[in-house]
Amino acid sequence: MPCEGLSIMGSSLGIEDILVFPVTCYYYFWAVILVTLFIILSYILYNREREDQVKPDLISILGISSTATLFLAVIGSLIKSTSGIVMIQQDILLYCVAVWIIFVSIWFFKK
Amino acid sequence: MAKFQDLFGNFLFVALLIFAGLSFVIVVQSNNSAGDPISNNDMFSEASNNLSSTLENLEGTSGIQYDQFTGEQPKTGFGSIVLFGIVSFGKTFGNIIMTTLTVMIKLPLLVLGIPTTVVSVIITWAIIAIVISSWLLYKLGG
Repeated sequence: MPCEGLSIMGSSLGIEDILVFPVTCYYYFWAVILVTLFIILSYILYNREREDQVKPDLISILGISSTATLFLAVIGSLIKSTSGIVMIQQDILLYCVAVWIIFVSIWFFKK
Repeated sequence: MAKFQDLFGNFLFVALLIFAGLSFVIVVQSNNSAGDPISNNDMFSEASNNLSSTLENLEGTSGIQYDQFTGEQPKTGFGSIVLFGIVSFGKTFGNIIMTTLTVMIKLPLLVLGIPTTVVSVIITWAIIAIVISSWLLYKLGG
């Protein structure tokens, strides 16, 4: 789907408008970024844990990463452009909450 | 298999953690006047309200069970003391564990479209854990 252009974001462009702009082209833009951050964070934490322990606890790593991703998603849901488009939409935040519930539940039940 | 109090404690701790997470999202969004608040979503608000009411009802249920337990006259059995109140205690709190689990998994189940096979495996595991823990509670007192 082609981008509609920055003109739809209003005459005076702010940082919010620039952040929200990719969503007008591709609805799941920030969702993909969040998933990427989740994977990168999990990978970094896994490698750091592997240096300290013989067998890293992958579920706890995924729990921590999903918590961090949820926080980022909540912050993103607060940012909206002058035309009222939100950076992280309600359904994407709902996905983040659902994934967070699963990982945190497994993490604490495993303990 | 875990002791009953450990199993119950784990479930409540996870329920409290999830409730804290859901409340965090709602409070942060409402305090900062978010454009599209998640509390407007029916699934989210239902899950949050159900979890909240389950946790709120715990105090009353615990009080009833405590009164029942303390009001019972112990009977002498073969080398032991028989207290029937512990059976009611196990049944009530076993039901609470199942209710809490159902409330907790409902949101991920609906949002992510998890197959019913996975859910039935989790429910089966929970039932086995509750039954064995309850039996240990009746038999050994925890």
